[in-house]
Amino acid sequence: MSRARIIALTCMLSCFFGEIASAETVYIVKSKRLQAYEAPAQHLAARLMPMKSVTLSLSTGDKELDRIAAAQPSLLVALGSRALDRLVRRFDKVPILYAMVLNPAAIVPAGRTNVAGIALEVPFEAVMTQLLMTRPSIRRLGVIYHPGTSRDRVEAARKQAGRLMLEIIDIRVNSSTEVVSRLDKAKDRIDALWMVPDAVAYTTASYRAVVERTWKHRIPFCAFSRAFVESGALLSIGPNNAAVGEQLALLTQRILQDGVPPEQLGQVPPIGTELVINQGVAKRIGMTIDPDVIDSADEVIE
Amino acid sequence: MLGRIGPIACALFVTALAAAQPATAQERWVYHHDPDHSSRNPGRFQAVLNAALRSIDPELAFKSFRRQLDLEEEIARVRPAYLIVGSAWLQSNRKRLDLRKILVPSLRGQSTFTRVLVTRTKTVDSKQLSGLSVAANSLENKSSFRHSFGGLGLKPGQLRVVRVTKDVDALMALALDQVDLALVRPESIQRIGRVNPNVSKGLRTLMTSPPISLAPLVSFGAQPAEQSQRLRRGLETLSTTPLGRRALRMLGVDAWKAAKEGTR
Repeated sequence: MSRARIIALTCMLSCFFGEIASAETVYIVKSKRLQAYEAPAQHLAARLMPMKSVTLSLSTGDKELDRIAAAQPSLLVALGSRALDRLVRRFDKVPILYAMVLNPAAIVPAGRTNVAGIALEVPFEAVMTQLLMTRPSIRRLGVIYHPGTSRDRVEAARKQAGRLMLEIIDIRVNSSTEVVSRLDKAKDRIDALWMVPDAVAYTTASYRAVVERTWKHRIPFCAFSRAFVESGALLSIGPNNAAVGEQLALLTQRILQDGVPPEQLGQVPPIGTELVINQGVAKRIGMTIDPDVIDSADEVIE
Repeated sequence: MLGRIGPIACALFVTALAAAQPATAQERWVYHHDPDHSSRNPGRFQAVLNAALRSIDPELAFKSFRRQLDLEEEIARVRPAYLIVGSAWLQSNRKRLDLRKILVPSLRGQSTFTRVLVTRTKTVDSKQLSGLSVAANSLENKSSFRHSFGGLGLKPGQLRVVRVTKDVDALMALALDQVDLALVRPESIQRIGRVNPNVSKGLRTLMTSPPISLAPLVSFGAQPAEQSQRLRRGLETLSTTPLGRRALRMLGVDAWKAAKEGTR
């Protein structure tokens, strides 16, 4: 073959493979059609542009997964536990990012290197910073928990609490029936109550009782989700779904454009938070919140 | 292709504007769009501002838009009498739309504010920011990006922006090593640093934005002198009532004063 033909062939092959390499596609897979998944999916797709993305919801059966596999995606994003479970079972090489997953460690097999994601829980330091902005005088933070369920979480928080000049006051319970009596005994030793996701301590009935006690004892009650603020907690600091989408875009860029392996990213904390304040509860417990904090809240329930 | 969409969209917007319906005699609209101070509780914001403006003049009606696109679509459909609009959009559109300043707001005596670009990474240099990630509660679109970063010669797309809703989120993202940079108001660093010193520890300021004007009240061309005067007087004295003070706080200001005559 002449040199000119070799050069021409090389150029053609470069153009061909270059074209394929630039056609990266990200598949955004939602566990189901749920309003909560819309904001992260939309923000992610918008931020990824001009990179191509396809958003779909899983139904029963494998037809969506077959379609995804045939498309040879560059990266997969799982929104919700079901999506992560299905993607992890099917794809062990394609990078997978997850968000809005309750317990990813229970879904992702040990040793898998193609999975990374955003934690569901806002870091303790971020929660407490915003709680202290609403009430700078808080020093003693009560925590109701079942040791078998939440000991590790509380101990991790205790290590960080000192930096914020906070003291964690343990309110340990063996069952949800002990919650009210233990809280009543601790009421004079705490300045605020921090709710942890503990399914033993908090049932529907015990949560309701805790809310009533925090009103009666005028204790600021900090929860982790908007639903609890609607039900009587003073405020909640949870992840902001739109910001989750933006953060997923950043992680996607790190993997696809910077070449960072998913296992190096691991699980990262959510960046954006949603602060919801119940103004009615604040008035009920005699608490005045700085107007600047009220105005910066993501939602104020009257 | 995306770079050509902007001018085409502008041309369509201006063309549609020529066919826009003016407000009825019974209702004169005050539109609001301020990415530098977006209310995160739009329903409440709308209700309070509507009530406050109607207490000045029952013919006034208030509507706020979070997205620039929504503002422009609505202006093309129903032209407002007045706008309270962020400086980036105002600068881009004031000549074409004949927008005239009536009142300028202030906060603690200042009619402008700044943002600072901060980092905790020792190796980050203000001359080599391209490709880095920044957490910010502004930077809604290319206009606001250029407004904040134009002075550094950075173009939209050169930074990886993660939009959050509050300065505390941007600073925490930096403190937790999730982003390289944060774009925040300097007073936020002080306020948040008082409750969590870890947030402000080790921060380096790479850049201070040029002064960004608080969103002024402008009229769409010439409006009836008597009505404009009534609105002006009402806003200048808004702080004398609880409703008015609440409205001012939600706008992110604490006073209004007359703009210089003929200012655009």
